[in-house]
Amino acid sequence: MRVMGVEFAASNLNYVVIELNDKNEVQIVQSNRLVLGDTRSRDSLISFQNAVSTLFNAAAPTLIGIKSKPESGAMMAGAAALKMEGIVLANSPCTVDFVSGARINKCAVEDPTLFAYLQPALKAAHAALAKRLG
Amino acid sequence: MGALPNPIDTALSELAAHYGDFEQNDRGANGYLFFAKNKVTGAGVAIKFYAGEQGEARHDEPRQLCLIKNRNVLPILDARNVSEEWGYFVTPRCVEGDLDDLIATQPSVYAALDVALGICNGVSAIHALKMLHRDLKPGNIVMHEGTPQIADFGSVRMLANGASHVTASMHSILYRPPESFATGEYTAKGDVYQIGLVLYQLLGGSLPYDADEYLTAKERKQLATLTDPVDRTLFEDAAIRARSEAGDLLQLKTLPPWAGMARRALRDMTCANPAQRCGSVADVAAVLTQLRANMANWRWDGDVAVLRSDSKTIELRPSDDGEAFYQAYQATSSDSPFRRVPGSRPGRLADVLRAI
Repeated sequence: MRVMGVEFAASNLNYVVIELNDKNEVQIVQSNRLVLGDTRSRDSLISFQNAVSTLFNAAAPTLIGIKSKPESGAMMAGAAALKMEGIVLANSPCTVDFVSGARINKCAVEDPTLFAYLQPALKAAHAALAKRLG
Repeated sequence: MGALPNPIDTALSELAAHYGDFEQNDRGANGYLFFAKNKVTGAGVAIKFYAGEQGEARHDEPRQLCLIKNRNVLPILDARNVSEEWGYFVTPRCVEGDLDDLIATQPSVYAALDVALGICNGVSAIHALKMLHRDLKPGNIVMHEGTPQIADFGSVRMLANGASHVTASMHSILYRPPESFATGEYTAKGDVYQIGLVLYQLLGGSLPYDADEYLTAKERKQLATLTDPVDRTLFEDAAIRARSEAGDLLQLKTLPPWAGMARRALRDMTCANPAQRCGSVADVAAVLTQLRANMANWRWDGDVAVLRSDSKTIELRPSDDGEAFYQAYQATSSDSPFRRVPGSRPGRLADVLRAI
Protein backbone atom coordinates (compact mmCIF):
# COMPACT_ATOMS: atom_id res chain seq x y z
CA MET A 1 0.00 0.00 0.00
CA ARG A 2 1.35 3.41 -0.97
CA VAL A 3 0.29 6.54 0.86
CA MET A 4 1.15 10.07 -0.20
CA GLY A 5 1.20 12.69 2.55
CA VAL A 6 0.71 16.27 1.39
CA GLU A 7 1.08 19.59 3.15
CA PHE A 8 0.42 22.96 1.54
CA ALA A 9 2.70 25.66 2.94
CA ALA A 10 2.45 29.09 1.29
CA SER A 11 2.91 28.36 -2.43
CA ASN A 12 4.58 24.98 -1.85
CA LEU A 13 3.13 21.51 -2.05
CA ASN A 14 5.35 19.32 0.12
CA TYR A 15 4.91 15.59 -0.33
CA VAL A 16 6.22 12.35 1.09
CA VAL A 17 5.27 8.94 -0.29
CA ILE A 18 5.47 6.00 2.10
CA GLU A 19 4.98 2.32 1.39
CA LEU A 20 3.71 -0.39 3.69
CA ASN A 21 5.33 -3.65 2.63
CA ASP A 22 4.30 -7.27 3.24
CA LYS A 23 6.31 -7.35 6.48
CA ASN A 24 4.29 -4.41 7.83
CA GLU A 25 7.31 -2.13 7.56
CA VAL A 26 6.85 1.45 6.41
CA GLN A 27 9.49 3.02 4.21
CA ILE A 28 9.79 6.36 2.46
CA VAL A 29 9.88 5.95 -1.30
CA GLN A 30 9.74 9.55 -2.54
CA SER A 31 9.68 13.08 -1.24
CA ASN A 32 9.98 16.51 -2.78
CA ARG A 33 8.31 19.90 -3.19
CA LEU A 34 6.22 21.38 -6.01
CA VAL A 35 5.83 25.15 -6.24
CA LEU A 36 2.95 27.15 -7.70
CA GLY A 37 4.49 30.43 -8.77
CA ASP A 38 1.55 32.40 -10.12
CA THR A 39 -2.02 31.74 -8.96
CA ARG A 40 -3.70 33.86 -11.65
CA SER A 41 -1.98 32.62 -14.76
CA ARG A 42 -3.73 29.87 -16.72
CA ASP A 43 -0.42 28.56 -18.08
CA SER A 44 1.06 28.44 -14.58
CA LEU A 45 -1.92 26.47 -13.26
CA ILE A 46 -1.86 24.04 -16.20
CA SER A 47 1.85 23.50 -15.66
CA PHE A 48 1.30 22.86 -11.98
CA GLN A 49 -1.45 20.41 -12.89
CA ASN A 50 0.99 18.62 -15.22
CA ALA A 51 3.49 18.38 -12.36
CA VAL A 52 0.82 16.94 -10.04
CA SER A 53 -0.28 14.47 -12.71
CA THR A 54 3.36 13.46 -13.26
CA LEU A 55 3.74 12.90 -9.54
CA PHE A 56 0.62 10.73 -9.35
CA ASN A 57 1.70 8.69 -12.38
CA ALA A 58 5.18 8.18 -10.91
CA ALA A 59 4.19 7.52 -7.32
CA ALA A 60 0.96 5.57 -7.99
CA PRO A 61 -0.49 6.23 -4.51
CA THR A 62 -3.37 4.11 -3.22
CA LEU A 63 -4.29 6.71 -0.60
CA ILE A 64 -3.56 10.42 -0.23
CA GLY A 65 -3.51 12.18 3.15
CA ILE A 66 -3.72 15.96 2.99
CA LYS A 67 -3.04 18.10 6.04
CA SER A 68 -6.28 20.08 6.11
CA LYS A 69 -6.35 23.86 6.21
CA PRO A 70 -9.37 25.99 7.12
CA GLU A 71 -11.23 27.41 4.13
CA SER A 72 -12.56 30.37 6.14
CA GLY A 73 -11.79 32.36 9.26
CA ALA A 74 -8.65 34.10 10.46
CA MET A 75 -6.50 31.04 9.82
CA MET A 76 -7.88 30.33 6.35
CA ALA A 77 -5.55 28.99 3.71
CA GLY A 78 -4.15 31.34 1.09
CA ALA A 79 -5.15 31.43 -2.58
CA ALA A 80 -2.18 29.31 -3.63
CA ALA A 81 -2.95 26.57 -1.08
CA LEU A 82 -6.62 26.41 -2.05
CA LYS A 83 -5.87 26.28 -5.78
CA MET A 84 -3.21 23.62 -5.28
CA GLU A 85 -5.64 21.61 -3.17
CA GLY A 86 -8.26 21.85 -5.93
CA ILE A 87 -5.79 20.62 -8.53
CA VAL A 88 -4.70 17.71 -6.32
CA LEU A 89 -8.32 16.68 -5.67
CA ALA A 90 -9.33 16.97 -9.34
CA ASN A 91 -6.41 14.81 -10.49
CA SER A 92 -6.28 12.35 -7.61
CA PRO A 93 -6.20 8.72 -8.76
CA CYS A 94 -7.35 7.42 -5.35
CA THR A 95 -9.19 8.26 -2.12
CA VAL A 96 -8.15 11.47 -0.40
CA ASP A 97 -8.26 11.70 3.40
CA PHE A 98 -8.10 15.17 4.97
CA VAL A 99 -6.02 14.95 8.12
CA SER A 100 -6.75 17.54 10.81
CA GLY A 101 -4.04 19.40 12.67
CA ALA A 102 -5.01 17.51 15.83
CA ARG A 103 -4.46 14.14 14.13
CA ILE A 104 -1.14 15.36 12.75
CA ASN A 105 -0.05 16.47 16.23
CA LYS A 106 -0.90 13.06 17.66
CA CYS A 107 1.41 11.42 15.16
CA ALA A 108 4.86 11.10 16.73
CA VAL A 109 6.59 9.88 13.56
CA GLU A 110 9.64 11.82 12.41
CA ASP A 111 12.40 10.99 10.02
CA PRO A 112 15.72 12.76 10.48
CA THR A 113 16.72 12.01 6.90
CA LEU A 114 13.95 14.29 5.63
CA PHE A 115 14.08 18.09 5.60
CA ALA A 116 12.12 19.74 8.43
CA TYR A 117 9.63 21.17 5.91
CA LEU A 118 8.68 17.64 4.84
CA GLN A 119 7.90 16.33 8.36
CA PRO A 120 4.21 17.48 8.35
CA ALA A 121 3.66 15.69 5.01
CA LEU A 122 5.24 12.55 6.47
CA LYS A 123 2.92 12.79 9.48
CA ALA A 124 -0.10 13.28 7.20
CA ALA A 125 0.86 10.11 5.31
CA HIS A 126 1.26 8.11 8.55
CA ALA A 127 -1.99 9.47 10.02
CA ALA A 128 -3.94 8.58 6.84
CA LEU A 129 -2.36 5.11 6.82
CA ALA A 130 -3.19 4.56 10.52
CA LYS A 131 -6.82 5.53 9.93
CA ARG A 132 -7.08 3.22 6.91
CA LEU A 133 -5.60 0.32 8.89
CA GLY A 134 -7.94 1.08 11.76
CA MET B 1 2.99 11.65 -54.54
CA GLY B 2 6.17 9.66 -55.30
CA ALA B 3 6.31 5.94 -56.00
CA LEU B 4 4.68 4.15 -53.12
CA PRO B 5 4.50 0.45 -52.27
CA ASN B 6 1.40 -1.09 -53.85
CA PRO B 7 -0.47 -1.85 -50.58
CA ILE B 8 -0.14 1.82 -49.58
CA ASP B 9 -1.42 3.00 -52.95
CA THR B 10 -4.42 0.70 -52.59
CA ALA B 11 -5.07 1.79 -49.00
CA LEU B 12 -4.90 5.47 -49.98
CA SER B 13 -7.47 4.87 -52.74
CA GLU B 14 -9.81 3.32 -50.15
CA LEU B 15 -9.10 6.10 -47.65
CA ALA B 16 -10.04 8.65 -50.32
CA ALA B 17 -13.69 7.74 -49.70
CA HIS B 18 -13.42 9.24 -46.21
CA TYR B 19 -10.51 11.70 -46.46
CA GLY B 20 -9.49 14.37 -48.97
CA ASP B 21 -6.71 16.93 -49.54
CA PHE B 22 -3.91 14.36 -49.13
CA GLU B 23 -0.39 15.74 -48.68
CA GLN B 24 2.68 13.54 -48.30
CA ASN B 25 5.12 14.64 -45.61
CA ASP B 26 8.78 13.68 -45.56
CA ARG B 27 9.07 13.64 -41.75
CA GLY B 28 7.63 10.12 -41.49
CA ALA B 29 10.79 8.22 -40.61
CA ASN B 30 10.44 4.43 -40.77
CA GLY B 31 7.36 4.67 -42.98
CA TYR B 32 5.21 7.08 -44.95
CA LEU B 33 3.32 10.00 -43.46
CA PHE B 34 0.32 11.74 -45.04
CA PHE B 35 -1.81 14.63 -43.93
CA ALA B 36 -5.47 14.65 -44.96
CA LYS B 37 -8.85 16.11 -44.06
CA ASN B 38 -11.86 14.10 -42.87
CA LYS B 39 -14.61 14.61 -45.44
CA VAL B 40 -17.37 14.54 -42.79
CA THR B 41 -15.92 16.48 -39.86
CA GLY B 42 -13.37 18.54 -41.74
CA ALA B 43 -10.78 17.64 -39.08
CA GLY B 44 -7.16 17.40 -40.15
CA VAL B 45 -5.52 14.03 -39.59
CA ALA B 46 -2.10 12.45 -39.96
CA ILE B 47 -1.98 8.96 -41.45
CA LYS B 48 1.19 7.02 -40.78
CA PHE B 49 1.98 3.85 -42.75
CA TYR B 50 4.51 1.61 -41.03
CA ALA B 51 6.13 -1.69 -41.92
CA GLY B 52 7.68 -2.63 -38.60
CA GLU B 53 8.97 -6.05 -37.68
CA GLN B 54 7.27 -9.23 -38.66
CA GLY B 55 5.13 -11.05 -36.16
CA GLU B 56 3.43 -9.85 -33.00
CA ALA B 57 5.68 -6.80 -32.51
CA ARG B 58 4.62 -5.29 -35.85
CA HIS B 59 1.71 -3.34 -34.42
CA ASP B 60 3.52 -2.25 -31.23
CA GLU B 61 3.50 1.45 -32.09
CA PRO B 62 -0.30 1.92 -32.48
CA ARG B 63 -0.99 -0.54 -29.65
CA GLN B 64 1.22 1.37 -27.26
CA LEU B 65 -0.20 4.72 -28.34
CA CYS B 66 -3.69 3.33 -27.71
CA LEU B 67 -2.86 2.17 -24.19
CA ILE B 68 -1.81 5.60 -22.97
CA LYS B 69 -4.56 8.07 -22.19
CA ASN B 70 -2.83 11.31 -21.36
CA ARG B 71 -3.24 14.86 -22.63
CA ASN B 72 0.50 14.97 -23.44
CA VAL B 73 0.48 11.85 -25.59
CA LEU B 74 -0.89 12.00 -29.14
CA PRO B 75 -4.22 10.13 -29.26
CA ILE B 76 -4.85 7.47 -31.90
CA LEU B 77 -8.11 7.69 -33.88
CA ASP B 78 -7.98 4.53 -35.97
CA ALA B 79 -5.60 1.75 -37.03
CA ARG B 80 -5.79 -0.80 -39.87
CA ASN B 81 -3.75 -3.61 -41.35
CA VAL B 82 -3.40 -3.19 -45.14
CA SER B 83 -1.14 -6.09 -46.10
CA GLU B 84 1.20 -8.71 -44.68
CA GLU B 85 3.85 -6.00 -44.50
CA TRP B 86 2.08 -2.68 -44.05
CA GLY B 87 -0.34 -1.15 -41.57
CA TYR B 88 -1.38 2.41 -40.78
CA PHE B 89 -2.76 4.45 -37.93
CA VAL B 90 -4.54 7.79 -37.86
CA THR B 91 -3.91 10.62 -35.37
CA PRO B 92 -5.00 14.25 -35.24
CA ARG B 93 -2.90 16.52 -37.44
CA CYS B 94 -0.82 18.90 -35.38
CA VAL B 95 -0.59 22.00 -37.54
CA GLU B 96 1.60 23.80 -35.02
CA GLY B 97 4.50 21.51 -35.94
CA ASP B 98 6.97 19.88 -33.63
CA LEU B 99 9.31 21.20 -30.95
CA ASP B 100 12.02 21.94 -33.52
CA ASP B 101 9.59 24.48 -34.98
CA LEU B 102 8.87 25.87 -31.51
CA ILE B 103 12.57 26.07 -30.62
CA ALA B 104 13.15 28.06 -33.81
CA THR B 105 10.76 30.73 -32.49
CA GLN B 106 12.91 31.18 -29.33
CA PRO B 107 10.14 30.55 -26.77
CA SER B 108 10.02 32.47 -23.51
CA VAL B 109 11.36 30.95 -20.29
CA TYR B 110 7.85 30.08 -19.06
CA ALA B 111 6.83 28.61 -22.42
CA ALA B 112 9.96 26.41 -22.33
CA LEU B 113 9.29 25.23 -18.76
CA ASP B 114 5.58 24.65 -19.48
CA VAL B 115 6.40 22.48 -22.48
CA ALA B 116 8.96 20.52 -20.44
CA LEU B 117 6.36 19.94 -17.69
CA GLY B 118 3.91 18.68 -20.31
CA ILE B 119 6.55 16.26 -21.59
CA CYS B 120 7.14 15.06 -18.01
CA ASN B 121 3.42 14.34 -17.71
CA GLY B 122 3.36 12.33 -20.94
CA VAL B 123 6.54 10.42 -20.05
CA SER B 124 5.24 9.62 -16.56
CA ALA B 125 2.14 8.05 -18.15
CA ILE B 126 4.42 5.92 -20.35
CA HIS B 127 6.56 4.91 -17.35
CA ALA B 128 3.43 4.08 -15.33
CA LEU B 129 2.70 1.35 -17.89
CA LYS B 130 6.24 -0.04 -17.45
CA MET B 131 7.35 1.30 -20.82
CA LEU B 132 10.34 3.44 -21.76
CA HIS B 133 10.21 5.86 -24.68
CA ARG B 134 13.94 5.80 -25.64
CA ASP B 135 13.67 8.45 -28.36
CA LEU B 136 12.50 11.72 -26.81
CA LYS B 137 13.71 14.56 -28.99
CA PRO B 138 12.14 17.74 -30.42
CA GLY B 139 11.23 16.05 -33.71
CA ASN B 140 9.19 13.41 -31.85
CA ILE B 141 7.11 15.86 -29.81
CA VAL B 142 4.36 17.79 -31.58
CA MET B 143 2.40 20.85 -30.48
CA HIS B 144 -1.38 20.58 -30.59
CA GLU B 145 -3.49 23.56 -29.48
CA GLY B 146 -0.56 24.81 -27.42
CA THR B 147 -0.02 21.47 -25.70
CA PRO B 148 3.07 19.33 -26.26
CA GLN B 149 2.23 15.75 -27.22
CA ILE B 150 4.64 12.85 -27.47
CA ALA B 151 4.07 11.47 -30.94
CA ASP B 152 6.55 8.85 -32.05
CA PHE B 153 6.27 5.46 -30.38
CA GLY B 154 8.46 3.52 -32.79
CA SER B 155 11.20 3.16 -30.15
CA VAL B 156 9.03 2.47 -27.10
CA ARG B 157 9.84 -0.78 -25.33
CA MET B 158 8.05 -2.59 -22.53
CA LEU B 159 10.08 -3.50 -19.42
CA ALA B 160 10.10 -7.22 -18.71
CA ASN B 161 8.65 -8.26 -15.35
CA GLY B 162 10.93 -7.02 -12.57
CA ALA B 163 13.46 -5.55 -15.02
CA SER B 164 14.64 -1.95 -14.85
CA HIS B 165 16.23 -1.73 -18.29
CA VAL B 166 15.66 -2.53 -21.95
CA THR B 167 18.09 -2.59 -24.86
CA ALA B 168 19.25 0.92 -25.84
CA SER B 169 17.83 2.35 -29.06
CA MET B 170 20.28 2.95 -31.91
CA HIS B 171 18.27 5.98 -33.10
CA SER B 172 19.32 9.61 -32.63
CA ILE B 173 22.87 9.27 -31.32
CA LEU B 174 22.80 12.90 -30.16
CA TYR B 175 20.09 12.08 -27.62
CA ARG B 176 21.44 8.71 -26.48
CA PRO B 177 22.12 8.66 -22.73
CA PRO B 178 25.90 8.43 -22.21
CA GLU B 179 25.73 5.27 -20.09
CA SER B 180 23.89 3.38 -22.83
CA PHE B 181 26.91 3.44 -25.19
CA ALA B 182 28.98 1.17 -22.96
CA THR B 183 26.22 -0.95 -21.44
CA GLY B 184 23.82 -1.15 -24.39
CA GLU B 185 21.10 -0.77 -21.75
CA TYR B 186 18.46 1.90 -21.30
CA THR B 187 16.62 2.74 -18.06
CA ALA B 188 13.97 5.29 -17.03
CA LYS B 189 16.87 7.65 -16.30
CA GLY B 190 17.58 7.64 -20.04
CA ASP B 191 14.23 9.32 -20.62
CA VAL B 192 15.11 11.83 -17.85
CA TYR B 193 18.36 12.59 -19.70
CA GLN B 194 16.50 13.16 -22.97
CA ILE B 195 13.96 15.50 -21.31
CA GLY B 196 16.97 17.44 -19.98
CA LEU B 197 18.41 17.81 -23.49
CA VAL B 198 15.05 18.98 -24.86
CA LEU B 199 14.68 21.52 -22.03
CA TYR B 200 18.20 22.78 -22.72
CA GLN B 201 17.22 23.41 -26.36
CA LEU B 202 13.91 25.02 -25.39
CA LEU B 203 15.74 27.44 -23.10
CA GLY B 204 18.00 28.49 -25.97
CA GLY B 205 20.97 26.15 -25.57
CA SER B 206 22.82 25.18 -28.74
CA LEU B 207 22.70 21.52 -29.81
CA PRO B 208 23.60 21.47 -33.52
CA TYR B 209 22.16 18.65 -35.63
CA ASP B 210 25.16 18.78 -37.97
CA ALA B 211 27.65 16.19 -36.69
CA ASP B 212 30.52 18.26 -38.07
CA GLU B 213 29.92 20.82 -35.31
CA TYR B 214 31.09 18.29 -32.70
CA LEU B 215 34.46 17.65 -34.31
CA THR B 216 37.72 19.27 -33.32
CA ALA B 217 39.97 20.71 -36.03
CA LYS B 218 42.11 17.59 -35.83
CA GLU B 219 39.08 15.33 -36.15
CA ARG B 220 37.87 17.29 -39.18
CA LYS B 221 41.21 16.66 -40.87
CA GLN B 222 40.90 12.94 -40.08
CA LEU B 223 37.34 12.93 -41.40
CA ALA B 224 38.50 14.53 -44.66
CA THR B 225 40.69 11.49 -45.33
CA LEU B 226 37.66 9.15 -45.19
CA THR B 227 35.73 8.62 -48.40
CA ASP B 228 33.34 5.79 -47.52
CA PRO B 229 30.06 7.36 -46.25
CA VAL B 230 29.67 4.56 -43.68
CA ASP B 231 33.17 5.16 -42.32
CA ARG B 232 32.45 8.90 -42.15
CA THR B 233 29.21 8.35 -40.22
CA LEU B 234 30.91 5.93 -37.81
CA PHE B 235 33.70 8.45 -37.26
CA GLU B 236 31.23 11.27 -36.54
CA ASP B 237 29.19 9.03 -34.24
CA ALA B 238 32.34 8.11 -32.32
CA ALA B 239 33.13 11.82 -31.82
CA ILE B 240 29.59 12.51 -30.52
CA ARG B 241 29.77 9.46 -28.25
CA ALA B 242 33.09 10.71 -26.78
CA ARG B 243 31.57 14.16 -26.12
CA SER B 244 28.46 12.59 -24.60
CA GLU B 245 30.36 10.19 -22.33
CA ALA B 246 32.60 13.02 -21.16
CA GLY B 247 29.49 15.02 -20.22
CA ASP B 248 30.59 17.61 -22.75
CA LEU B 249 27.64 17.67 -25.15
CA LEU B 250 25.77 20.56 -23.59
CA GLN B 251 27.41 23.95 -23.87
CA LEU B 252 25.70 25.72 -20.97
CA LYS B 253 27.45 28.96 -21.88
CA THR B 254 25.28 29.11 -25.03
CA LEU B 255 22.19 29.58 -22.84
CA PRO B 256 20.96 33.17 -22.50
CA PRO B 257 22.13 34.77 -19.26
CA TRP B 258 18.62 34.72 -17.72
CA ALA B 259 18.69 30.91 -17.81
CA GLY B 260 21.42 30.88 -15.17
CA MET B 261 19.14 29.44 -12.50
CA ALA B 262 18.27 26.51 -14.78
CA ARG B 263 21.89 25.46 -15.27
CA ARG B 264 22.10 23.39 -12.12
CA ALA B 265 18.81 21.67 -12.95
CA LEU B 266 20.06 20.91 -16.47
CA ARG B 267 23.29 19.46 -15.04
CA ASP B 268 21.25 17.29 -12.65
CA MET B 269 19.02 16.06 -15.48
CA THR B 270 21.79 15.37 -18.00
CA CYS B 271 24.62 14.20 -15.75
CA ALA B 272 26.71 11.58 -17.60
CA ASN B 273 26.67 9.42 -14.47
CA PRO B 274 23.09 8.13 -14.09
CA ALA B 275 23.60 7.62 -10.35
CA GLN B 276 23.93 11.38 -9.98
CA ARG B 277 21.04 12.20 -12.32
CA CYS B 278 17.50 13.17 -11.19
CA GLY B 279 15.87 9.96 -9.97
CA SER B 280 12.58 10.13 -11.87
CA VAL B 281 10.35 12.33 -14.00
CA ALA B 282 8.52 13.30 -10.79
CA ASP B 283 11.77 14.78 -9.46
CA VAL B 284 12.26 16.60 -12.77
CA ALA B 285 8.72 18.00 -12.59
CA ALA B 286 9.35 19.21 -9.02
CA VAL B 287 12.52 21.05 -10.10
CA LEU B 288 10.71 22.59 -13.08
CA THR B 289 7.92 24.00 -10.88
CA GLN B 290 10.60 25.52 -8.62
CA LEU B 291 12.32 27.11 -11.63
CA ARG B 292 9.02 28.44 -12.97
CA ALA B 293 8.27 30.11 -9.66
CA ASN B 294 11.70 31.70 -9.39
CA MET B 295 12.77 32.65 -12.91
CA ALA B 296 11.73 35.76 -14.81
CA ASN B 297 9.89 35.25 -18.10
CA TRP B 298 12.50 36.65 -20.51
CA ARG B 299 12.39 35.96 -24.20
CA TRP B 300 14.21 37.01 -27.35
CA ASP B 301 12.35 39.20 -29.81
CA GLY B 302 14.86 39.32 -32.66
CA ASP B 303 18.03 40.64 -31.07
CA VAL B 304 16.14 42.36 -28.23
CA ALA B 305 15.66 40.65 -24.87
CA VAL B 306 12.14 41.33 -23.58
CA LEU B 307 10.51 40.92 -20.16
CA ARG B 308 6.79 41.74 -20.00
CA SER B 309 4.76 41.97 -16.82
CA ASP B 310 1.36 43.49 -16.00
CA SER B 311 2.95 46.73 -14.86
CA LYS B 312 5.78 47.28 -17.33
CA THR B 313 7.89 46.00 -20.20
CA ILE B 314 11.67 45.96 -20.07
CA GLU B 315 13.74 45.65 -23.22
CA LEU B 316 17.47 45.10 -23.43
CA ARG B 317 18.44 46.51 -26.81
CA PRO B 318 21.76 46.25 -28.58
CA SER B 319 23.72 49.40 -27.81
CA ASP B 320 25.92 51.55 -30.05
CA ASP B 321 28.46 51.80 -27.23
CA GLY B 322 30.31 48.61 -28.05
CA GLU B 323 30.15 45.20 -29.60
CA ALA B 324 27.69 42.85 -27.83
CA PHE B 325 26.70 45.68 -25.48
CA TYR B 326 23.10 46.18 -24.38
CA GLN B 327 21.13 49.07 -22.90
CA ALA B 328 18.02 48.64 -20.72
CA TYR B 329 14.79 50.47 -21.61
CA GLN B 330 11.39 50.27 -19.98
CA ALA B 331 7.78 51.30 -20.68
CA THR B 332 5.33 51.48 -17.81
CA SER B 333 2.25 50.89 -19.99
CA SER B 334 1.47 49.65 -23.48
CA ASP B 335 1.00 53.18 -24.85
CA SER B 336 3.83 54.93 -23.04
CA PRO B 337 7.19 55.38 -24.79
CA PHE B 338 10.27 53.36 -23.86
CA ARG B 339 12.81 55.26 -21.76
CA ARG B 340 16.22 54.24 -20.49
CA VAL B 341 16.02 52.48 -17.14
CA PRO B 342 17.22 55.13 -14.64
CA GLY B 343 20.80 54.53 -13.50
CA SER B 344 21.44 51.76 -16.02
CA ARG B 345 24.53 51.75 -18.22
CA PRO B 346 25.32 49.92 -21.43
CA GLY B 347 27.15 46.68 -20.86
CA ARG B 348 27.30 43.01 -21.63
CA LEU B 349 23.90 41.34 -21.53
CA ALA B 350 24.65 39.39 -18.35
CA ASP B 351 25.89 42.54 -16.57
CA VAL B 352 22.87 44.64 -17.63
CA LEU B 353 20.54 41.87 -16.49
CA ARG B 354 22.26 41.70 -13.13
CA ALA B 355 22.12 45.48 -12.75
CA ILE B 356 18.38 45.76 -13.32
